Amino acid sequence: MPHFTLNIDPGGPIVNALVQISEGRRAALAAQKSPIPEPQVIRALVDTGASFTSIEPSVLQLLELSPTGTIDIVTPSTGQNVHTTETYDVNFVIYAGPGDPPLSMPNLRVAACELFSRQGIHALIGRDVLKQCILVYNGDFDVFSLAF
Amino acid sequence: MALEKELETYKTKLPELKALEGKFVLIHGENIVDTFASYEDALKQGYKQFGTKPFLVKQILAIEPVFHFSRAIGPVRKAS
Repeated sequence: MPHFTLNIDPGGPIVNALVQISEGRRAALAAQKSPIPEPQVIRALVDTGASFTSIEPSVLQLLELSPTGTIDIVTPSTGQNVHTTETYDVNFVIYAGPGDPPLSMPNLRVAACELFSRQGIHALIGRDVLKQCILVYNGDFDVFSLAF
Repeated sequence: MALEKELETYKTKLPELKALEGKFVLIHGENIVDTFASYEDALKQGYKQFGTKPFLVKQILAIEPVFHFSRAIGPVRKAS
């Protein structure tokens, strides 16, 4: 089973992930002979408190994406009120150890949510992605492992 | 707001769509294009048919789920 183990960052269990346009959007841009935006390497926090994977809007802007949906969310900053946020489809890749296949989600639906950059991260990896993984948080050794 | 017209179409057509609960509907403007078994299939058709023009892919659900975040984050809705 592909896996990796990393030190726990002061900000929590953070991985580098590659985010790029989804397969469908890539085909549409190619058909229009439009340039393909460059993939972006981002810092993503593994967050079991997030029920949906979310990405900072500035990253989505670099990929020149348009929303293809919305979801309703509740966070501490919204209080008890439900707010609607846009969703985008992306190709999201988390690399494992050398020689192991990456965790690749070519059409992952992600929510656009702000304030991440101030927290030193660009994304939250939520339980929608973690349901494909085994997460071991070893606080005693200050490491975490992700297998998929 | 982005996708405002498509979301309004979904709300209006939801009583008819409820028989297809769980499937994914592709909407462009005021038109229900088709329904699909998976998000990926609906997305693929959306890009094939509309390219980079706006379209909405939405799972047909009688009760809209609410997603929870324990970390303070800000929702985003762009002006269209």
